[in-house]
Amino acid sequence: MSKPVLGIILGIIFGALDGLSAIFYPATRQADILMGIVIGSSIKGFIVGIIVGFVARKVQSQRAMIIIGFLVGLFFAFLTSLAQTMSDQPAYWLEIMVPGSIVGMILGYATQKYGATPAEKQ
Amino acid sequence: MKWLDDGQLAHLRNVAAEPALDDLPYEIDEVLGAGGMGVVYCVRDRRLGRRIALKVLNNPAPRAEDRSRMLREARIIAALEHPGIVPLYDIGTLADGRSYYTMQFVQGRTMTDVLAEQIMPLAETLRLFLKIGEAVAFAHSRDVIHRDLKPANIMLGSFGAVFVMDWGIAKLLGHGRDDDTDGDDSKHSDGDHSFAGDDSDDHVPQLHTAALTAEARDAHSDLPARSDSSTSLPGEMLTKPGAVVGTPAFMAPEQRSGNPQAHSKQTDVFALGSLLFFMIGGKPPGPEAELRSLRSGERGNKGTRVPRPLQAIMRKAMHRDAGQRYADAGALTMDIERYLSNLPVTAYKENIIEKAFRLIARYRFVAFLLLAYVLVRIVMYYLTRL
Ligand SMILES: Nc1ncnc2c1ncn2[C@@H]1O[C@H](COP(=O)(O)OP(=O)(O)O)[C@@H](O)[C@H]1O
Ligand SMILES: [Mg+2]
Repeated sequence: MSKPVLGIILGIIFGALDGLSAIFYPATRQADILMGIVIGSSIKGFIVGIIVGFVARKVQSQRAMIIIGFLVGLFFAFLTSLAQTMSDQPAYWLEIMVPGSIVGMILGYATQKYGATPAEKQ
Repeated sequence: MKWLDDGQLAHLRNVAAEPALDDLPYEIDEVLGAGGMGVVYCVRDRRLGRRIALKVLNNPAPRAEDRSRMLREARIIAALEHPGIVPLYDIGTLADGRSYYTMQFVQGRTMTDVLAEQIMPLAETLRLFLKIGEAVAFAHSRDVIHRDLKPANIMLGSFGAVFVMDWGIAKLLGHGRDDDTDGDDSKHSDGDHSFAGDDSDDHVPQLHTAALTAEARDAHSDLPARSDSSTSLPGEMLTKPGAVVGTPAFMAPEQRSGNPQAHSKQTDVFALGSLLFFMIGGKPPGPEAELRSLRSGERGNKGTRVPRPLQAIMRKAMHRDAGQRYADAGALTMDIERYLSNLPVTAYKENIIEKAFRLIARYRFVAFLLLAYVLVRIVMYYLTRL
């Protein structure tokens, strides 16, 4: 599987699971709110995954991809939190940004390590 | 030395004396060593000004009708081009009738010497073994079998290079008359067929005469000099002094029965399995039970138990029944590679716990990150409840 495709698939899965963890918070336990979070989080995972996957094609270092994954994950989690405060919802800065950056690291590492490198072009 | 007749004395002299290289463009620099089948010299090629290795075999001259067949087979071996294979340069016959062949001179040490000194950590051993296995796998893919894989035929050069040498050529030249020795071949099989543990000195001549033709064997089957030269090889005695445990442990049961037709890729697989055992534990394999108690690690230390998948790989490679072994060296190396990448190996059926640990090891970093993620979630959950 190519790195971007792997990034997209893992991004959606981890994004959905990450969103699903909101079930533990009373404020977001209602089905419709939870659904919205899961979908939003999957989209966020999709975007982070595809970016990280494409970067992993260019960057060959595993360590660099962990850092890049961390930064991309952190950035999009930051955007999510920002969007929440701007739409006057209660903000969960840490609750979104810390796990979001860990998921980014997982995506960065996994796409680099388990994604297939396309054959060298001459 | 009353019991030696003239013919035997002449043979002894041949073995001991420097060969006459009259019409060859080589000058002998030094003796590199002597194995069961001949003596290896470092010679200088006067024309090209380079040093090469020349091996003179202790066998009588091949018959004319055998020569063309030998040459045909030698061509196949000469065609093997691989970084792990010592290239064959030339074969021929000396004025005194003995066969010789020349090959690249390898600057380095044999695996026997290296292992006598130190045992490498398991991961390093496996990586080294893979290089050997890949060289043999390459030959197998070209339908060439080695027939005499053992630590003395593997050299570690500078820059981490690994060379497998003596590609079936010694046996090829030595067995010039295999086809018509008929029942005689079973003669050198009357030695002990079990593993190294109970071998003693007097089996060595029999093993090494395996390379000689029937007549030569009959004439010299109890030459004391042979076993002396062999036992004096460094590293050949590793467990107890006096007990030679070099070659026999690397021979498959079917090989020990002396039937040259029984040589197959699986014969090499058996030898590779034994070699791996030797490289891991520093001693050649003994009876089956030893596999379970094999430990890796520094000599003298208690060492660590060899993981079960690896044990299973060796057990499969050294299976008594050739048909049950890996089909060729490629299949064996593939399983080692799978082991190294924490993939399931074909030789071993793991239980669920072993599988779980293997998966964790395979996805070590991801597993670590997932754990970190869960921990973060739990911590945050409790923080927000405060
Ligand atoms: N191509 C070579 N380059 C350098 N040394 C060699 C070469 N071939 C053989 N030797 C040395 O000569 C010794 C004797 O070789 P050989 O007659 O094949 O016996 P054996 O393989 O049984 O030890 C080897 O152990 C090795 O140390
Ligand atoms: Mg040799």
